[in-house]
Formats: sequence, C-alpha cells, structure tokens
Amino acid sequence: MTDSLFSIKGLSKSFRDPRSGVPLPVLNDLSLEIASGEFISIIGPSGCGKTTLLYHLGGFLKPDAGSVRYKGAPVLDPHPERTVIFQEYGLFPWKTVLGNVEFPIKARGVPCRERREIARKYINMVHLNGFENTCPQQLSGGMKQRAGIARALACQPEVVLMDEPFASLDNITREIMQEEILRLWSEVGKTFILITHHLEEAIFMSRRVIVMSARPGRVKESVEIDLPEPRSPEVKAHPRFAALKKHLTHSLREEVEKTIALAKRLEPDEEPSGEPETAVS
Amino acid sequence: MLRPIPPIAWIPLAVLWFGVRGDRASNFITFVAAFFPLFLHTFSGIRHIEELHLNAARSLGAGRRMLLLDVALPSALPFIITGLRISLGFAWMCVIAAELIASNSGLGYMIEINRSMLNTANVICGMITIGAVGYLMNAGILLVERRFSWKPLQ
Repeated sequence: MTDSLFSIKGLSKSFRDPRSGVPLPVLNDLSLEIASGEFISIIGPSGCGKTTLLYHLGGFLKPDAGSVRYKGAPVLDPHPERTVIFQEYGLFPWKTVLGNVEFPIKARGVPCRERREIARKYINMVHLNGFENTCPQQLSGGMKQRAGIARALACQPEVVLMDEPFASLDNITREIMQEEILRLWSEVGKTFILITHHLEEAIFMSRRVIVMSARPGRVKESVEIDLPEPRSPEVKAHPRFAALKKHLTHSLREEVEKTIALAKRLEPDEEPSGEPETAVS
Repeated sequence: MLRPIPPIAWIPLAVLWFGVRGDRASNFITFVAAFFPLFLHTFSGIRHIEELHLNAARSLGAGRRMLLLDVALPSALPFIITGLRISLGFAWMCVIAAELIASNSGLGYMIEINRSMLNTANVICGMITIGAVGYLMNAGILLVERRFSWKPLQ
C-alpha cells in the first residue's frame, strides 16, 4: 500500500466507571495503519471500543498512552479534514437542510452567496434537491442520513469517519445507502472509515476489514477483501463473499463469546447486552 | 442567596435607596423580578446543549464564534424564550406592585389614588388595562417563539 494516512501506535484508553471510580480499560495497545484512499471497516463485539477508536481518529479524545498520527502529526483536535458522520446524524434541528450543509462551508469563511451554490452542489450529489428548505425533523431516516453525508462532504474532507451510520435505517434503505456511499467514495476518492457491527455490510463495502478483540480492544486481524470491483449487490452471491463471511463470522463470534463471558463474570446480576447476537447475523 | 427573596420583598429597600419619586424604585424591582427566571433558563438551556451537536460542529470546523452563534445560542433559544415569557409575566406583576406602594406614577399608582378617592370605576378600568397590556406582551413573545423556536429531533 501507499504511505499511511493514519498511524496508530500502542493506543490505550480507559474510562472511569462513574459509580465505583475504577478505571475500565477500553483500548489496550492498539496499533493500526490506514492508507490514503482506503475503504476500511472496523468490526467487533459491542463495547469493544470501536467508537472510542473512531473518536480518537476524529480528535475528540486524547490517548492515555500511545499515539494517533495523521499525516505524520499527532491528532489533537477535531478538524474538518477528518470529519465524522455520527450514528444519530447530529444534524442541527434549528437549521434547514441547506443551513446544515452550509455550516462547514461557512466555517471555512466562504461568503454567503457562494456558500449557497457550493451547498446545493453537495445536496444534489446525495439527491436531496427539492428539500433544501426542509427542517431535519421532517425528513425520513434515510434522507437525514443523506443530509448528514452531504454536510460531511461539504467539509471537503480527506477522511470520512462513520460511526454505524446505517444503524437506524430499515434494510432496503440501508442497502441503498451502502451503494450510494460506495458511489460517493469512488467519485471523491477519499478515505472512508466505517464502524459497524454488521458483518455483511463490512464485507460488501470495504477493501479491508479490521476485526477488533473483546474489551479491552485491540486489532485481532486485518482481512483484505478481494472481491470483484466495482462492488454491486451481486457480489453478495459470489463464492468468495461466502468464504470471507464464514471466516469473519467465526473470528467475530469468538470475540462476542468472550465479551459475554466477561460481562457475566464482572456483573453477575446484570444481563449481558443483547447487541452481540445481532453482530453475527 | 438572593433568589429566594421575592422581588416584592425588595420594595421597602428600593424605596429607601431610590426614594418614592420617579421610576427608579420600580425599575429596580422590575430588574430583580426579571433577572432570575431569564438567567436560570438561559443557564439550563446552555447546559442542555447536546454533546452530539457540539461534537458535530467541531468536526465540521466551527470556531468559537460559530459554536456560540450557530450552535449554542439557537440550541438554547427555546429555553431562553421560555425564560423571557416567565420573566415578563413576573416583572409585569412586580412593577404594578411596586407602583402601588412606592411610586408616584404608573398604572399601579393610578389604581391606588382612585382607591383612596373611592372611585371604583377607575380602579376597575386600571385593572382591565393592566390585563390587556400583559396579554399583548405575552402574545408578542409567543410570536417571537413561533418564529425562532425549533422542535427537537425524535
């Protein structure tokens, strides 16, 4: 691969339990290199620190130990070059779609009229034209996600970090959005990093899948996805797809089982989270 | 410390400080009445800004100015407007009370004078005026609220 965009070395992070004050290690000695222009997915059992890792890449959290470097310089603050699409979209409900998409352009200091034009270009890109003056709460889930994507692209990012962006969409919308993201990825040629617990989604969309271990998270394995390009829904019927899925299911299942065992040992009176089961479906 | 003291209880002190002549005593009472509801609502509005919105704004490149004007202020605005409504009602109530006791002008003073002259018609006329003005002010704020408020996402 080409030289790396993100270089994570020995990253560790723990959070204090709000009740007992005991530090809870979430990431432990995680190292990962991400090359420019990659589409990479990070999967792992719930609670393994996927989101924590993403927040480190975005610059929202500071590592306890180790380093996160972006283009050779340590990541200290959030920056529009490494923009994040959050699970709950994070659209501003007091702004219209246009206002939301204009936000990062305004932050760059572009004058009002030009701003509008640039924002319209991104809105057209995600096929939301006609909804410029609609408020986010009047949009459907898929349209909110599109608006969120348009807003992220309006940052002119080098890296798009996505934290389970399709989690609250129905299956069909989800598939359509996956294809749209892939189309945008090939159009803009940027690096996309996707956090998901949906295995098929990870295989279908990415060129590389990172499996994280049970908490405290580290990279368990990195799997190159050598499926035919460009990706279309037909690759899901490809024999290689099934083989990769089998391998990754097995790998992920091990970690989910560890997570459940850990939860049982730590908190016998609390039910283990129901989420890991959906992870392997 | 100062908040549990009802604004009306400030009237005697205001009279001592500012005298009965002119509007200064009732201005002071109005300020005391209006300050806390607005302050506390603004405060809790700022506290209720969602972390998600702040994070999103920061990752979109917002500087301090945009965080304040494009995120914090509009996000807190529904709270601020509610605070404004409560402050206004409260201040209106207290300004009349202050005028009844510690003023030589205003609607409250007019009612008080007419009471001492046993002119019931004028007293009732003053009360109706107070009600009408209060109603109109509230309607004005509702108009502002409808213009600027947003509904949260489900």
